[in-house]
Amino acid sequence: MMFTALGRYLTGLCLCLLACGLAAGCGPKSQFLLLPDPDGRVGALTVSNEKGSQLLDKAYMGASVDSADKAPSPPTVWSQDKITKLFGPALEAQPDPAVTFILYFISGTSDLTEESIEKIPRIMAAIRDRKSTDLSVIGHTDRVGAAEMNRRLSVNRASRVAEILISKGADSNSIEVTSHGEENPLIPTADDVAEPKNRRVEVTVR
Amino acid sequence: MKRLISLLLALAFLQAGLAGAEPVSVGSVKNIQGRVHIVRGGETVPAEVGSRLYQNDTIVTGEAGTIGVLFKDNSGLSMGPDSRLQITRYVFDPAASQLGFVARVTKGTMVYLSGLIAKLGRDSVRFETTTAVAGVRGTRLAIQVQGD
Repeated sequence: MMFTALGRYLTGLCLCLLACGLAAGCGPKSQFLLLPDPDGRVGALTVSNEKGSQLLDKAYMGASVDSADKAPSPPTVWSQDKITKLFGPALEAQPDPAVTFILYFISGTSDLTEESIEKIPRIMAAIRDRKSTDLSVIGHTDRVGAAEMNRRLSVNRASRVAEILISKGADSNSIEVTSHGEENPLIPTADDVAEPKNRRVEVTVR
Repeated sequence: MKRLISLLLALAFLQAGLAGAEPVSVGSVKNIQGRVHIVRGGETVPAEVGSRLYQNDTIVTGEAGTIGVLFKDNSGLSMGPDSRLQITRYVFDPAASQLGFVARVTKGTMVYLSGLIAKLGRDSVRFETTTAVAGVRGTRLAIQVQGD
């Protein structure tokens, strides 16, 4: 019994080695495909190894690489049929994108504006609907004042929002509170420019 | 003087935070079909909806398994059946301009929709296979690797 299994394994191994010797595309082969995002935007992808590089920058452009010592093939546009055949299950399994709510603050404080207080019930509804166990609360400021002071202000803003969400029933273990100070503006500005849209906390429900 | 004290306090706090640092999760599992597991530090744990993922985790899907994951930077990853992918590097700290996502795909199929790491950091998202490297400028892509 043992010997038969071993024999079969060895025969398989020999056949495989033989096939590898004969076939040009032996071993792992990779294929790369650029897809539009859900909003229809198309980004870009470079596929490279030591032998060469290809740029994929149009929707449904694909390239394949037969081995590490062969350059990537020039890109071609793939048919929907080919894409579904190869990637159907992986495309089906794509997660629902995260939803982000933006809450604004009164300048220099961690007090929410009236309009932003009214958004809290919608955030709670999104947490319930998605059965989310993963929330980010990220504090930001505009560029008025010193960067270090803004860092502290962004921490206070994020903590305040997290407290509000927990008081409404969100699980504190699901919430990650971080702050970016003035480093990640929604609207890029020069230093010391007041920009209400950057004075914010982003709540992302995943 | 006041400033010095608050600086010292901040430093002490930072150090305490670092000493007691638990591994930071990089994302969570949003959907699963069939059998999917995670290889973490030599141990195999089953993946479930809500499971947290960490840097260096390898996600392995079975014959009829699929998985959907959302990362901290809001990028999304899904894998088809019989696939294997390792999160070799995941750094998302925009405040410190530390951004990077590198994954190694050794088998099967995957789809990736880029998020903030690709948006904020140039050349910071990369997928490696056994034969090539894909540099991602955004936004959605798919990769297939024939296993050996």
